[in-house]
Amino acid sequence: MINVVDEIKKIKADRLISITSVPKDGGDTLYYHFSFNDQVEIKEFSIEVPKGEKVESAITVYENAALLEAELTELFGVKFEGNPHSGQRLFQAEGSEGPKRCINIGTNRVKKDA
Amino acid sequence: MHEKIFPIGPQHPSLKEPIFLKLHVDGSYITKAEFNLGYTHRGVEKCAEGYLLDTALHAVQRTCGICSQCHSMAFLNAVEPMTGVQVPEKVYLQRLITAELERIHSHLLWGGVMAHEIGLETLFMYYWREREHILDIFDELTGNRVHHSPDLIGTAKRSFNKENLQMVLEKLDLVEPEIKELRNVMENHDVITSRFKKHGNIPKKMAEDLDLVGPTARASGVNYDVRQNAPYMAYGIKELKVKPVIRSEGDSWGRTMIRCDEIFESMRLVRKACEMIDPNEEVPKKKNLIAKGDFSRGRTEAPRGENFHFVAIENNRIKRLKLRTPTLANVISYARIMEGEDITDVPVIVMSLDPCISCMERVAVIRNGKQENWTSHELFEGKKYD
Repeated sequence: MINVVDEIKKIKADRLISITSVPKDGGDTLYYHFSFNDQVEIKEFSIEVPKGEKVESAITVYENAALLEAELTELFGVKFEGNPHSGQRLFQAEGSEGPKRCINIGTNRVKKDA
Repeated sequence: MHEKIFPIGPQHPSLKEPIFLKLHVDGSYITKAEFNLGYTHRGVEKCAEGYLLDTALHAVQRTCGICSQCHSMAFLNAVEPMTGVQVPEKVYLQRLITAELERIHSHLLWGGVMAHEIGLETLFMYYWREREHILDIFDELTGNRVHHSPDLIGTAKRSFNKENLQMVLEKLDLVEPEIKELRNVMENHDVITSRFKKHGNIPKKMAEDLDLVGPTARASGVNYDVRQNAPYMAYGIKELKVKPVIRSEGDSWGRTMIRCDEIFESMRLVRKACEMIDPNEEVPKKKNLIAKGDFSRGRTEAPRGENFHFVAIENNRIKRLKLRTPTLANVISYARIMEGEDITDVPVIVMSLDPCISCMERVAVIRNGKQENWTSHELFEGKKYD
């Protein structure tokens, strides 16, 4: 599992705006977008997630990560550890297996994750 | 007591767009709420991937039928600095006028729908009558009533002339007294006050913890408006500084009054921008631009709140586009604020958050390097990739 919570805590941002997944070499680069300095600036914290690797959920620091992570799980197959909402279907019908609508930009890493 | 599950949606008379609310009720009181999304995916993010910036802009501008200009501006906020293009002030002012008119149009649309939800059909028609005037302005300025699409990277498709600006000011003078009257109705109507006040409470702490945005957050006392905190384009001009409306109630009533008052602030900005704009200046012609850098991001204050765009570029084409719409940021509060409410108040609470579901559900799909036409079956079931 890739630990991110300690790093995120150190950043001391005003707010988590969003999390973006950009597919790379079969895995993903995750960008955490934070706002700083009374919401004036935006900075990114990024991590490389190899295929199949789980990422620690940021929900303990930012509650709104619940939905953002659930979206990435369902649409891109990025797995998060410690997000109690990860089982809650947001975009897919109950009983279907995800991810169905991912990913790779123009090339190979399509299909479902293993 | 026996707890039962009461489903609302995805197709329901009180919902204007499909969303599924699963309410656990004890009698008529809600003990727990869950929601499901995903009934109106359109693949906007994926539509843009692989395309040149100019082409991607067409897809981005069609993300939402209400805040089309704000999506366009967020995208341009991200990509224009990467291209290094110098944007003239007139173009920025034109964008501001369109964006603020869009806010007026959005809040009037919302006011009508809210009136409809509580059975005030006449009020609904009055709201939408005024909205028609704003749509007429869009028609005059951009040629389109809904998807205005007036922008190009670094410039605009056309220059607003003297007659255009005159028409804007005349229309605003025409609708302002009517909108003031509608605000008075909203403020003093017994049915509205009794059903809105103290329902759907979002305390300031909850709004901050959940990172809510827009009027939803500002109605709970959170002083955050992108136009004020991080001014972009013409919002950085001294005369066009935004004075956000902040309230402290945090309930459906507070969110209603915020939107009513924001209309007048938008009118002030539009009038000021019309004064400042030079009607004789022509906007520059479109140039072929090369974007430098790997990624960028932009944000705008859409009618529903902060709108965030992330754009990753590869070979001057879109590698990845991510849109975080304000409704996606606010939808997380749904489950919380429903708890403890009566089931009859659900439509009002949902509408007080002004959700834009199809704007929120963008989604990524696979194109695999080739442009393909997809059936909805293929899109939703992923059959092409099994």
